[in-house]
Amino acid sequence: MGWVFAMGETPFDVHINFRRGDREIAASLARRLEALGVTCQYDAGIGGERLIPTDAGAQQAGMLVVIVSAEPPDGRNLRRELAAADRLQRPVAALLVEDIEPRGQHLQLLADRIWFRLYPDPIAQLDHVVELLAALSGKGVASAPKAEPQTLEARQQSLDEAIGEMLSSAVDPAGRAPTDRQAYVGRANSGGKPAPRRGGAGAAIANVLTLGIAGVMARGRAKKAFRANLRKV
Amino acid sequence: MPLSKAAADIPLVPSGLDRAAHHRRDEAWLDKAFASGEAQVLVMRNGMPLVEGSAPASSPVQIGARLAPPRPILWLGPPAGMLSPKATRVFLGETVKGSPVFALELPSSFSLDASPIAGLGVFEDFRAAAQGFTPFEGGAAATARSIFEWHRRHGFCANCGDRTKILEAGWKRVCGDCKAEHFPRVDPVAIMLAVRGEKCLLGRQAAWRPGFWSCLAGFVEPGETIEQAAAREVLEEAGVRCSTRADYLFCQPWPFAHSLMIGLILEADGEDITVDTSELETARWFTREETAAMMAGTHPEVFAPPKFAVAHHVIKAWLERG
Repeated sequence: MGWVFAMGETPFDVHINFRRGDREIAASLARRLEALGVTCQYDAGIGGERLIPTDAGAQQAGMLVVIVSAEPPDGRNLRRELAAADRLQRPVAALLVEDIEPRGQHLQLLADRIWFRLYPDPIAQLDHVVELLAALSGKGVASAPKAEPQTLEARQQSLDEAIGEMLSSAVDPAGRAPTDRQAYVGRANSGGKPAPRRGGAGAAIANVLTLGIAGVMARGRAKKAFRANLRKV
Repeated sequence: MPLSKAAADIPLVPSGLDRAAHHRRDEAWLDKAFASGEAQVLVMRNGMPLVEGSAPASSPVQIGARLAPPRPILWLGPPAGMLSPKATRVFLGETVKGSPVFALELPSSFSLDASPIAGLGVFEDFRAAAQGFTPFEGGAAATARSIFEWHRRHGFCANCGDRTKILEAGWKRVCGDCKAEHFPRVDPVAIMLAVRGEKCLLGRQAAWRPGFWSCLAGFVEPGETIEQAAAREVLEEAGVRCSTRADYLFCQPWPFAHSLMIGLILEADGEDITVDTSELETARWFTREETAAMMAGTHPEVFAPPKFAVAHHVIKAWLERG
């Protein structure tokens, strides 16, 4: 059963996984997707507008969107939702809403997914990805199902190309956060000379002791995959 | 308005900062000012200011504990707004030269090490950092910490329980449902030195560092004057009856969480002490000589409050009266 067929049976097109601090972003994304006719589920917990049992999560939706910030993920829930999405061959996209590199479970579980960089102003920058997400969910005009159902891989590849084209014209260099740390220092500051970053040999040894050589290598691969999959908006 | 000589010496009293409240409702002006190259941005996380240096921050300190050497505040420029989309921004005012001054509270989840400013500074315990504040920095930092504490504790309407949102450059919250308006609160606290002849009354709490003594203090309650509150607190905590004819000295904004410490000296009617051990571990009378030695750091057993605390200045004022 292909994912396009499967989506026809789901009550929601997109399930949004987010942490409490990112609720406003999740709500804003849901509103914009729903304006395009894409139904969303983002309040799976107690107190939400749509009380869906948490474990229903991604199993009831055609696509999983994960909002990633510095707030640590609910790893158990995220693993369950990813497992459901993978089992049912549904696409997964991660939205990075803070100027960080994902760590821990966000990195391990999501490194090889499609990433969109949405900062410094994620709510405004959602405009750049909402149509792409609608397309990935199967509801967008750009990805309307053809007569012959495509495989997930083929579909992802064609969408990747479309995403690349759209993003190349959407990126606003002026809106990017500076990467030079001295650019952040105010004129009023008395000094602000950069101090050496923590790291070096000591940090490397500590990492090996904590994670083991295999763990460090796996983390390195995950970081590489994340960087390769990150699309700047 | 120029500060009185006494008030100008008190740390955390704003100096050189015009609050420029007329700009608070002008969002276009605020955005433009924040984006201008002149903007000075004080950054905090969990009530701790960003200071220069990469040495580890001080851990939360016990009252009276020795503090780490202070480090200067690391003032950032407009790009600070890109550090986190979840930061709370407050317009603090303008410098005497007209530069806009803002404060940003970054979310608890913000990771300095993973940010573009990694290595530039650290978030330092407020008390440790306060020792090194200039008068301008002290006023700005105390104001910012108090108002961020207020935001942190007032996310929901006290009238109906619905979520409130921030307006007027951070100086107001409004309920999304019942539209009730909420303004930053200030809790007045009387901090007083009860004196009798050549002696003054000091107390200490069990949680304080051993050897640390300070003035008695307590919140002013509804329906009483500051002087009455001072006399009541001395009676409640130490069992010493005082005149309510107190001498007001000066006051100090105290951002833990958002108090205004009002310094007073008042005459005690007697010397008998009955400590309320639910509030104090002990209290006792100190002679003028003992107090002077304590303030000079030469007393063998006890030591005085640090200079950034108003209690230090209340005791000093009594000693200077001769």
